[in-house]
Amino acid sequence: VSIRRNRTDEPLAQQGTALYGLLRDASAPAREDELAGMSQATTWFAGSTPAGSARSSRSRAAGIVAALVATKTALGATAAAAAVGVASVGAATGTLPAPAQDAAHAAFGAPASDNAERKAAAAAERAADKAAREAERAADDAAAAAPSPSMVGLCRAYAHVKDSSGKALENPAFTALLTEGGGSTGVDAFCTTTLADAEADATEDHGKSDESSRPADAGKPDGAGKPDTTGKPEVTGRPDGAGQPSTTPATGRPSETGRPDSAGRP
Amino acid sequence: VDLDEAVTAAQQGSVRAFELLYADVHPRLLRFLVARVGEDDAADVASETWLQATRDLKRFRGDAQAFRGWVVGIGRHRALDHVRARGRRPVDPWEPTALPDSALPDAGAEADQAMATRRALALIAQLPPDQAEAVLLRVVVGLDAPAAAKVLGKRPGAVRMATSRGLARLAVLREEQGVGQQGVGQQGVTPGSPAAL
Repeated sequence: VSIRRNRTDEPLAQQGTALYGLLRDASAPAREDELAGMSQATTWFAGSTPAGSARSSRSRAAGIVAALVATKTALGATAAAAAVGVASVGAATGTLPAPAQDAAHAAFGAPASDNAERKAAAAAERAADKAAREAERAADDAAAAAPSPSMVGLCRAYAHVKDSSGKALENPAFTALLTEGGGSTGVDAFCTTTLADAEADATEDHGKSDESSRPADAGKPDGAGKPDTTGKPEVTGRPDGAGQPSTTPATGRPSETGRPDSAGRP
Repeated sequence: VDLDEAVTAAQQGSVRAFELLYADVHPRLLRFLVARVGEDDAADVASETWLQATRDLKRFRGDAQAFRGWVVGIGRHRALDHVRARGRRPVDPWEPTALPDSALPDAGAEADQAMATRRALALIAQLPPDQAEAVLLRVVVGLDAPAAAKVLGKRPGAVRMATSRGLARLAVLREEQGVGQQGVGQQGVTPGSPAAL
């Protein structure tokens, strides 16, 4: 391999031939030792092209790190560069573990250039698409998990017979509720949600959508899953006289405090 | 081999094409860097250069000469970063008496040529930075004035001026230090190229 010059557009021969030997030496044919880094560069090239992209990003990042570590210069700087490189590769391909991904985005998310802005915009677009897909999936899951009529009936029945002792759940008829609620402490929350959903569905089915009467967050029991008052829907539009104690409704309607008396039982 | 086609093929993923480009560009890059950061660090800076170049290759647009300029331009920036990080002169002063010919009494022609190349680059490295870069890009990398101007972010006229002054200064240095008076390189060099500059 020779270092060959292009014919230049400017004759500098006026400098004479005094420099001929010097310039010829500076541009002498390439020596074999001057091509020592070819395999390393080829490895990087293969990892950065579509043809080489079949290799995993992990192996590419490992190759970059190994190559950088192999260099002698400024180990601190190259270590930082390696970290940046790995984080960038990983974040770009979405292969980092979630915390690392977050950290990478936090560290390099600031749009310092047009390129960074484009990347950020692309990332936001991807995130929006992902959120949309997740929303669709959640909707599908919710539809699949819609309470069956039998559960609605069981919950209604349970609402009429439950008491503070919890003995009603000892009835084998409510075994399914115990299963769905994840235990006796979860039955109230499950039934609250189930009945609220059933009522909401009934409202929609009849074309009587009345948002003001919808229970807020009716489907969300509290985090502990306990059937306490905070986990119950604020049933403002459909007071069930059959004994659903509620907290003060957001609408200011008087609630039926305390437990239902015997008159409320069927 | 048509290196212009190799550029396109490399961008499409051809390893063989990339190797051809590397063989064409890397020795030029390495010599440019030897003159800018010194022989000890040139290989490392060149590695950093290729790491970036392979990563950004898809964004490159141009022919083989533009590719040379593009890669060497990356190397120039890496070299500047390197010099700043080290906080020292771009290259250690050349000591012509440090490696006299007698130190290599049994060296073959290739070793003689390697030594002559080192001396020539070391002499160029003694030029003021703007002149050294202009001479290196024109003589060693093989760029024409507009291409060199693009690498340096200057006008072609400024590059021509810096090259002319650099060569004049180089002639003085050569006389003072007796480097390159005979010129060892005889193989593979475009005939008459140095004088044609």
